Amino acid sequence: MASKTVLSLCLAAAVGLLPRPAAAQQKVEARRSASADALVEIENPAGSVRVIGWERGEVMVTGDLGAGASGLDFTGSGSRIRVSVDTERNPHGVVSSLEVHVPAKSRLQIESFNGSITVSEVSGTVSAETVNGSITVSGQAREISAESVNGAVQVSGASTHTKAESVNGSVVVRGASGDLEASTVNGRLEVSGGAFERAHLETVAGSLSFDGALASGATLEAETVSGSVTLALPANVAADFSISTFSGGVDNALGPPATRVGEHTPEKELEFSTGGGGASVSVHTLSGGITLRKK
Amino acid sequence: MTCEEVRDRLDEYVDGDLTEAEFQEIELHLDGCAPCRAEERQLRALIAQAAALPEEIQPAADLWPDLAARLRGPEGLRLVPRTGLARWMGPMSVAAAAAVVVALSAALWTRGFVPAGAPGATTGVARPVALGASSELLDPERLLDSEREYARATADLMAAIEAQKESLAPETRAVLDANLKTIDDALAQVRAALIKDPGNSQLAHLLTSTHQKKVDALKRVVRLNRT
Repeated sequence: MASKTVLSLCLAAAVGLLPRPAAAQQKVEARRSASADALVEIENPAGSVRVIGWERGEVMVTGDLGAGASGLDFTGSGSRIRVSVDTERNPHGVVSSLEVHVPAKSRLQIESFNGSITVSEVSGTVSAETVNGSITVSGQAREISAESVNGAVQVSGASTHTKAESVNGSVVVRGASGDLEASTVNGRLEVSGGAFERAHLETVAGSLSFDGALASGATLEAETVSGSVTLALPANVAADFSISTFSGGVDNALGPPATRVGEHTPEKELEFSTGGGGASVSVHTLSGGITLRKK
Repeated sequence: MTCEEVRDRLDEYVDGDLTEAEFQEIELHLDGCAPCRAEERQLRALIAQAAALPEEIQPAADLWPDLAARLRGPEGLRLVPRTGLARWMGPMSVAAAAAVVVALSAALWTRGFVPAGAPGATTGVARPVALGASSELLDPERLLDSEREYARATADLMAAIEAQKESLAPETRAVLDANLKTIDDALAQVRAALIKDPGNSQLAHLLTSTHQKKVDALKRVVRLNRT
């Protein structure tokens, strides 16, 4: 019975129209040809989306459409493919799980609401957004933008342009380099990787840690209100540092200790250079402690 | 077309992504269906609100004369504007911002800064004061202006989120509220620090950047929720 369902869905997919499932979950399996760097747009209101890059020139969708789904909009071919769960009612309660294989060099645009997003083995570009749910991107994507409101964001790979943001969740970036923008409000922000040219890191209350290198003339900015900041940099890094905290402590293993500058306040500031200077490193907090250590 | 079909395609209709035939079909439906027309108008209003928000909000220099006049007022220095701001910011925020302004004013006066038109000013131009690159933010009235603009942006975004409340799960709203409280607590901490150290340009920057984080978080919710 299941194989008959899958077969019928495959046939229907050939004309871009999948049957309208009844209330219960139904399995889908469908394929469409796609160019190597196709734009693949995926929308699943709730549940999960797992995208895997492969070396074939086609997009394959498998998974389960949730109760309340009216079908899978699987259209386009060649340079642009669309995969979207259509729903009969409020889409945010229709929980579907999709696994989508795409050409490895695809340009992905993935959107969800109450759903997690996982991407692996894609070397093109990845844009992933969700409100409630985690986002995990691994592999060699050259550009990554991952944004969640209520969920952890984890990016691991060699991307050179990375944006990773959450409101209520941790943000972890590993292996990236080049240009990075990362922020969260409450979660921890953890960055480790290669040589960055520009890194802008912000939290409000979450801790912030950076463990990486700086390209010549790079800019690294780290700012929190109450979260602690830890930077681990090569001891010989060529950089000019500007550090300040209003009421936090400063523990500096890269240069001189911070001095208190406020006559009536505990404010501490520190400016110094290492390796002859070059890159610009600025760290500012209100009450979060600041630690600078050697890698 | 049914109402459900029309509402499913309202985003594309509003964005102009439909074919002429599809557009006409939806137009025809909207002309005869008040609930769908209302939904379409609500969507347009929401988009307009979100689109009207600037990427980065900086104090508007052209508001300076008006703000300065209102802050000083005919009856003397009035630190809390009485129109609009209270509604936007809430009494506690206004009081907190005003306290910061009082402290900043005192600090800047002791440093020799005399705003244009203030008693003792010899010309219509503020005397320069060596406060570094962030000196604009250290101007107390401009800082209040900045807080006001952020408060307005926040209120607009909260209204947009309110308009989307049917699609925003209660637990998501609760998470959002908890994070907004974190940011508001942080803002309160920064304001308290500014009262202790009114001449601190880094704190002034932290105040505006924390406001910006709040606006960014709200914009993200509005945008993703609409998606």
